[in-house]
Amino acid sequence: MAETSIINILTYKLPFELANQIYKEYQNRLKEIDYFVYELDHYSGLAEDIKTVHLMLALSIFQKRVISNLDAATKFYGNVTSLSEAETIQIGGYKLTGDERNKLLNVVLSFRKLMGKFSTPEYVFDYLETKDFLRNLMKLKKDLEDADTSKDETQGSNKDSTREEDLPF
Amino acid sequence: MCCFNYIVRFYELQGYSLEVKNLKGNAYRYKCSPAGLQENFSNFEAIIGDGKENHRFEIHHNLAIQSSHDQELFTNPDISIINSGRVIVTDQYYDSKKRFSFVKNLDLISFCEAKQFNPFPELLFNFIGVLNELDKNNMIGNTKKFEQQHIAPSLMISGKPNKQTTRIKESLERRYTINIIYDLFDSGMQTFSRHNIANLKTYPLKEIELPF
Repeated sequence: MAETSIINILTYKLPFELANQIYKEYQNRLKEIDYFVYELDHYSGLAEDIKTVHLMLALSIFQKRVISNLDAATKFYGNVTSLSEAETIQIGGYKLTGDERNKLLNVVLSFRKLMGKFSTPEYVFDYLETKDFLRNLMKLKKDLEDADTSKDETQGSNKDSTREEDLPF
Repeated sequence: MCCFNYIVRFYELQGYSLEVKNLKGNAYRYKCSPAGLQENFSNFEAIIGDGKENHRFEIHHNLAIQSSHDQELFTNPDISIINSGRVIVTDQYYDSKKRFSFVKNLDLISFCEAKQFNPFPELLFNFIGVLNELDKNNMIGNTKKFEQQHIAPSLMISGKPNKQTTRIKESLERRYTINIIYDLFDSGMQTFSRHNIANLKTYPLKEIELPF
């Protein structure tokens, strides 16, 4: 069975106009990424992690087009309710109630938690051109590898120090 | 909404107190398009003063503003800051008896346009067209002055700039009393922080005549 694309999972049940924008941006950037990674030496280091690169791309677009707007809506709700007796914000036919706001906030927090869980700093999603995104990922990869190396070294030196402690002088 | 949050924050940081006006029942009715009468929607009010003499300004969404060139032309910036209680309703605007609400250009303090795009040159220059229509004196350096701090007309864009659009922003901000703010979702919080708020352009302050 064919694997469902991450972008289809993220945009499932979103309004068509928004889902379409996200999908198009994802597809356009995906083509660029595949070209840069497989055709240019500078980015070839990401080839072995191409699935992760695609996942991160989808998440970055989702964050920009969905999460940031939900975040703004919850803040606006906070502004209005702290300054007045209002309990609801009515936007056309949609009513943003306290319960609804909590659900949105939950989505925003879950997204941030997810980023934290996978050690994804904010700068990774801070890009304009697709090349900038790839550079951010290369930096992240290097940071994570450096962190692993220094962890190994620390563990190694701990072993040494234990041995020193065992010495009778 | 993100832009509206930041404008409210700007006024808060300038020492204004804020109130929410025109609630409908217990709901804040958000005007998300130019259609509809302003009286059917809610807005914020920013108040500054010593208690004896207070100055009140309203912050609206999608309110029609009269052109500074022609009394019969109107445009709806995304956010407008106006003198309080100055929204007018007329039935002369349309061919039918349909009512239309607007504010006179004299009562416009400032305005903001919000765009969910990556910045590109035409978008930036289009904003100057709106500025020309709503604040013609700004175009010739004869900027309005107020007794209180008010944010200069601002274009807020969610996307990140490239070298060319950064250059255009710098040039336009040198020529006119305006703000062009990029990267709203990521660096917006920093742009409108207490520490950074002084870097935003505001209308010049009117000199207050002393009684001696």
